[in-house]
Amino acid sequence: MPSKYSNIEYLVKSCIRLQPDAQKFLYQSFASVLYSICLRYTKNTQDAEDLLQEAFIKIFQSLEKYNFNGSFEGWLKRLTINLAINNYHSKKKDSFETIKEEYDHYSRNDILEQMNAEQIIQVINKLPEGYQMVLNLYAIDGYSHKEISQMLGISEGTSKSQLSRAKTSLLSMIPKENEILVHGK
Amino acid sequence: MENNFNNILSDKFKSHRPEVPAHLWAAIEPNLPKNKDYNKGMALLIWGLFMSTALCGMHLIDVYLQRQYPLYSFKEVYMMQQGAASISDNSFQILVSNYKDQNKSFSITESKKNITNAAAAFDIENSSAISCNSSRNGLVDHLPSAIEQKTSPISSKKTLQDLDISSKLSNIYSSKQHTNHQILTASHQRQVDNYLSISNANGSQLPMEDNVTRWLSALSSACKSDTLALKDTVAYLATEALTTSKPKYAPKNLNDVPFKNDVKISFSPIKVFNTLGGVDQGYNIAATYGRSIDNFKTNLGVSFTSLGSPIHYKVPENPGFPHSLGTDKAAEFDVTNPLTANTYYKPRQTLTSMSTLGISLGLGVHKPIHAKWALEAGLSLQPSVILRSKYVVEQTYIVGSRKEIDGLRRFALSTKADIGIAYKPIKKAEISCGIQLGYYLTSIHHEEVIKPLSLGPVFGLKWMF
Repeated sequence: MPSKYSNIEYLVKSCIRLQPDAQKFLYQSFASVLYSICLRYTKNTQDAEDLLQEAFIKIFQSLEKYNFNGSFEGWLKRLTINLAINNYHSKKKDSFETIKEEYDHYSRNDILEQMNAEQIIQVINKLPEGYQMVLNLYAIDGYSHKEISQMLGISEGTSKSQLSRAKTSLLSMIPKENEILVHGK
Repeated sequence: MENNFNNILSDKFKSHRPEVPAHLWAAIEPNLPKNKDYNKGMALLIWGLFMSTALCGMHLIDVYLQRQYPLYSFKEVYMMQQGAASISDNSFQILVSNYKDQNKSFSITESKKNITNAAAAFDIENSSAISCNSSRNGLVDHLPSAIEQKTSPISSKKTLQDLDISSKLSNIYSSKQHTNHQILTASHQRQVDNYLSISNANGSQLPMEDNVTRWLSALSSACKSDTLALKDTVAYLATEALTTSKPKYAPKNLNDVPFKNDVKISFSPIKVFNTLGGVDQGYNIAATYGRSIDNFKTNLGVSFTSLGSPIHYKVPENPGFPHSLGTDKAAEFDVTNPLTANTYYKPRQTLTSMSTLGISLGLGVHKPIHAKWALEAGLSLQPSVILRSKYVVEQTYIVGSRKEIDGLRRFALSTKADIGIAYKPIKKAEISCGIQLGYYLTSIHHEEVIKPLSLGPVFGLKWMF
């Protein structure tokens, strides 16, 4: 049975009016999808929970700015990602270290395909933060290098090179096929 | 290869919905902005109920006091009045002093002989033709008129004992000195009222007939017996007058004061039905100055109306949606999620929000139906300026891509009719409650015919001067 808050506009307006049940409904509806983002953009679950908490507080404070153009979920995702980037800037130390390892791209892609999201997150979390950001933004969230360069304050070229290194690092860190089968969830 | 890599990652996370730790909401919720005004509606309702209860309570108290003390207002009841009854060898006297209005002070002096005669006359059964020998303005002057009203035979054989008043007398009498002029002091207003009722020459406030019977019986017995019995009788008369007579309720008429001017504030929560089928809600606040001529009045004031609520949706005719949704947009929604899936519902065209400020020109009728109640009806015309507006004119299946077009006019002309009931707790103030119907005479949109109709209760507070 659809809730009275199934209508996004009504839900948002109710949240703007600070109605507690609407706030809870919004949280319950979008917490999971945003938590997925938080897990990817942080190093561990504790940081992810902190980011999600921070994101929802920011969301509820910023709802009045939502103009109902475009997907509400997309707006929430962008806001969460921006917050993750802000956090990244605030503790920025450079972490674009290079991980050198020889591997076979094609076989690694196959292994990657067999991994589930949680396992991939575990690997992404092991990447240096800069790589992790570029990889998430470009490969998963679909931002262009131009957008990434503006968001992270780097040049487009840097974004591209970091993405390349991030992919190299990621593929080098993924377990071998037999390990996936043994340890995979 | 790069695209393949990206696609793999992207697909992995498209439907990734990890379980969120349960404790997180508990951590987030206290940090959310709190709405101190969230319960404003409830507070308003409670305040309204409280005020209604208080006013009803005041009215009931007023009715009770008017029954008990019909000649005096609420405040006057608490003015101390004094009554006294005295007897001598040949006559008895009842004295009442009214400190506030000396015109209401009076005394009744009557000889024992006259009382005896009156009582004797009363002894005759079917006593409708009784006449009395009394010569002055006194108690017995009024007895015949009361007796004449009685149609059933009256027993004259009652004694003090029959009336079971011995205990009353002993209580009163024991506290007084036995002198020739026994004085009973009555300090309560009701005593005064009842004494007044005795002395009323028109007989309109005479005590009930049963009391007359008992009074005559008591007087008759007393006049035939010794002095002490007569003293007891006078004391009894005073006591009976205080305790048994219940004058008819005569509330003060607060509607007879011809006030010419008034200032009224009214509030009306309204439901709005616009011509395209949408239902909205809002409120109207108006402040008016009125001039009255008899029961008719004219008024002039300002009126603010605010409409605004979420858009209402209806389920699409084909629930198997989204067949007509563009694929680029479809990708933005997760149809497995009950929340986002519901956004495919087709919105009705409806007014979403609007605020107007206008001048209210009105005519009304105010018809008293009771001492404190009146019926009210009014009609007003209201040219308004549209202060803020937002209107949905394009239907789409996706909430996020709904188009808003500012096609509303700057000015509007509306009319309102209301009917209700008004109550006056005091002379100069009036509260009212009724139903208000509003209609826009001009379309509020340039291109489409949109004439919202509003309906709702209206509450008013009026001060007259």
